[in-house]
Amino acid sequence: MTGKYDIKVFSLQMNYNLTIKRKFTIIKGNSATGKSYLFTLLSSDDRDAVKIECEAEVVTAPTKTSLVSYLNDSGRIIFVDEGSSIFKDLNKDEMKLLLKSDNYFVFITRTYLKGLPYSIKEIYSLETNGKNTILKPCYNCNSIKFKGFKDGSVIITEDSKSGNYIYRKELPACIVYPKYGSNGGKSYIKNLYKLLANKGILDNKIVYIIVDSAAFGDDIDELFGVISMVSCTVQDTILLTPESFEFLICSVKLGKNSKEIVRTYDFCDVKEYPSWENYFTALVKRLIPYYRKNKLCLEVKEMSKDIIKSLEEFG
Amino acid sequence: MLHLYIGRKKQGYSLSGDSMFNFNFDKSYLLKDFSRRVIKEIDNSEVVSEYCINSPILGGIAPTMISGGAKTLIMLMYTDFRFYLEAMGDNCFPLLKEICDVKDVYLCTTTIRPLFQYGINKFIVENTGELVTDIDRYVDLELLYGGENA
Repeated sequence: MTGKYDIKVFSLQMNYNLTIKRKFTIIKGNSATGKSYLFTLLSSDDRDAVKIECEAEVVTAPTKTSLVSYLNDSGRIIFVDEGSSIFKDLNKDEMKLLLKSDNYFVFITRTYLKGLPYSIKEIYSLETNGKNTILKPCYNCNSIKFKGFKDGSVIITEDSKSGNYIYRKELPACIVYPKYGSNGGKSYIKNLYKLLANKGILDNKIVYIIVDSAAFGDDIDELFGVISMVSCTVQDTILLTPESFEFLICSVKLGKNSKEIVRTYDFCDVKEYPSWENYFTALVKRLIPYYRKNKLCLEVKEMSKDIIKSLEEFG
Repeated sequence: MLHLYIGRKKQGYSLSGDSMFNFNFDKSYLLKDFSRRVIKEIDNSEVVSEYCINSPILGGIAPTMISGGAKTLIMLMYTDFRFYLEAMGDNCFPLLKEICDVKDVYLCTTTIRPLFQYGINKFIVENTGELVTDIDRYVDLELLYGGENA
């Protein structure tokens, strides 16, 4: 399944306008914003009572059994409400099925969905204006115009692979963590931030945290929690959210206005690639056949200046 | 006092107040002052009777149509059922604090929530049995146990 889908739901009291463009979309936010009411409307079978417009079939899965029964089909947008037991009891086999499924999923929940590769950019709350309700991003990834890295600042990346190497090479006036050889991992960032803060390494520094936003959704709440709660004297913490390091390589190789960059949803087949991170990794391997995540190749090394420019643009 | 289990409890804790409220609530709960406040402050609605709530958007509705967060708060106040903290939006926390001030409340959570920001700054973390009173320790425990299955 590929594509971007507008879902319009009409009832006498409330209308909803939602746009879904990736495999996993999360709706959370305050209580009493209309999340469960949306689910109730979508659950109605009577299309004369509740009008739903969408190019794909929209269904609801009120129970784990009903969700699992949909997983082998394709082309649907499946809504799951917060009470579903999948949010507290999804085993590894069911998770595998979910990742391989050829459907889009909208999860209405505030629960930490560990291991689910969803994007920071697809986490929403509902915003109502009169009778109309739309999706509002919880994390506005373009809220500030990034003006480049300041000398003397600290950069924290997810691991010490290719991206980390490029930042160390191109930004010698910055201190880049984790140090070379560290396994890291996206969940490690929050611990690393806390560790560095507690050691005083971040005192009076500007800290840039670079994450692969396409699959960082499950960790974002905890990262923000750590940033806002840990008592330290960091001057400023700036989160940079390119889709992934491979996305930056693609944007350099193909151009920032190429269709794969601008309309990724039309190319990322969710049966094969659960997140855009997987899609861009595969795309880079098509563009640079000898590309490896763990080993920096000459072609990427030569692109390093352009990659930093691209990061500054898409960050 | 709040008793908080950090991690994913498969049994004994409800992810949402919906089913627990719809199938277990006593209609007399709705006429109590605290429930009226919950429904007013969270849903911006008025309790008309134990059978009817007046919502500015939906009109006259059944009590089973109030928000999941409001249902959870009412059940926490008047029953001993246990819930995930995720059953409530951040806007429920001031009222949750009031409940924790008058009775023992058992919740579990999978992720860091802004409890301290809303004055819930003294609670027992069930995983270790310790009384947590500062944010740093809360963050430490969340990083250690959050997302883990119980």
